[in-house]
Amino acid sequence: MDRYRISPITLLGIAPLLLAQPPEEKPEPVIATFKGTRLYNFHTSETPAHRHLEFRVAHRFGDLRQGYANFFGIDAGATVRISLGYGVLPWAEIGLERTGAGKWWNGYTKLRLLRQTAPRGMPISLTYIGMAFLTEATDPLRYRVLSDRWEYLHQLLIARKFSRRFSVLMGAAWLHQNMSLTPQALNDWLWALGGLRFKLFSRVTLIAEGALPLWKNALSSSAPFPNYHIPWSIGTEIETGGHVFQLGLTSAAGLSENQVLLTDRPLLRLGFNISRIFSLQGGPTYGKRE
Amino acid sequence: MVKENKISCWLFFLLTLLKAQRYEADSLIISFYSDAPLEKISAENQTGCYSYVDFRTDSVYVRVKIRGFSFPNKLMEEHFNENYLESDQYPFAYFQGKLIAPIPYTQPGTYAVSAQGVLLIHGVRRDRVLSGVYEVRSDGTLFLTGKFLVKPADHKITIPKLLWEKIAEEVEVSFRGRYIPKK
Repeated sequence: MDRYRISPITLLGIAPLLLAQPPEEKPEPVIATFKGTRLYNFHTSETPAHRHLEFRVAHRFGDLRQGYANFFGIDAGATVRISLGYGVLPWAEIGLERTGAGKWWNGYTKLRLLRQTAPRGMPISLTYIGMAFLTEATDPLRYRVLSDRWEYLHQLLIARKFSRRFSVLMGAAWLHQNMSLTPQALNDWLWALGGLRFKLFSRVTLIAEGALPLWKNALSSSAPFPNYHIPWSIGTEIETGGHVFQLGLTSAAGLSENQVLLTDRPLLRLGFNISRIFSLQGGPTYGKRE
Repeated sequence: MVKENKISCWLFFLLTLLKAQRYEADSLIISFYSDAPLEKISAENQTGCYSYVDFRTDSVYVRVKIRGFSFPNKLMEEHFNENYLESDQYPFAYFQGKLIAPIPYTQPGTYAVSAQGVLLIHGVRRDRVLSGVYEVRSDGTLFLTGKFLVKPADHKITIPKLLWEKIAEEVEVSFRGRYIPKK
């Protein structure tokens, strides 16, 4: 037992070594839980950096199962969504979007409420997204006054980066439609959201997402409105400097979240997203000395 | 009693003498600059650098936290950490070396200084000689400035041809810092 006792002299010898150690590292926010602000159809937990502007274009083609006759849906023409998002604060984004399908305008506010830290501290990131949709579509039976044309979507997302390759997203979405799809249909709908990211190489990522309807009998034919479907997407992300390309396959209809979530029959559509980030921060050029 | 006091006095004197030969950086700023035809990339690290010089052994130690580099473009910062330097696996860059010639670090003046040692970036070691200028001020502090070039390829930092971010084959790294005697 005596052998293991540390003598004061040994301690004196060690002390300078201990003093030489730099101060301990404190927990830091985890970066790049997801590559971008969207997984494929749905939002991730990420927002653009402070004073950075993100410009996005999303394309979805027709049903792949139309086969060669329609060149796997591509001949059917694409529906397009254009988005602008701006990081007004390090933890807040505002955005404006236009979706061709359904002539939807929408604005959103995205807040990062909690941020995962490493090596210890906060285990998850928590993000809220509030969206307001307004359609310009002509449907005299459904839309009579302006207030009929509004829909609201609230999402709460929990994200965690488990390793440098693997991140998971879980959350809930609540859609309120001022005017229901049919007189018998619900005005409020609820989903559980899930998504994941797996990094194959340093610039290539696999993504998957889905939304599970949570109302009663959602997936059976006796549901309040047609039997519902779980909209899912799989895809790959390729990063080339300031751009992120996402190529994917989705079962969802439409393109904006309120359409995607209310997919009533499964489709199979190819599509892609392109995003570009612009820094409006300005700031100095470091390191250059004349 | 008197003898004991004398000894402890000597010990104290010796200790302070030893300590005074060790200088630690209380502020050290490391920045880099990549000047490619299409895109100029620069970043600065103000808070993540730790360094000391021990004139007893002429040893130099620098440790730089990769996450400490701040870019005007935060997307570049993310790519720098995630794809190039892979800071989750290699959180620090190091330089450990020895001064090639002793420095008269107590005589005010300006001296050229060189250190030979190992530069460890992205987990890849390279033998390097780094040079700079030491200015010894009359208050006993040392100011160090200098620059050197790093080839990303030397440290297995790969830059795909497909990339739209243009990065120069050589990146200029500058440093400037104040060293004070360690008490």
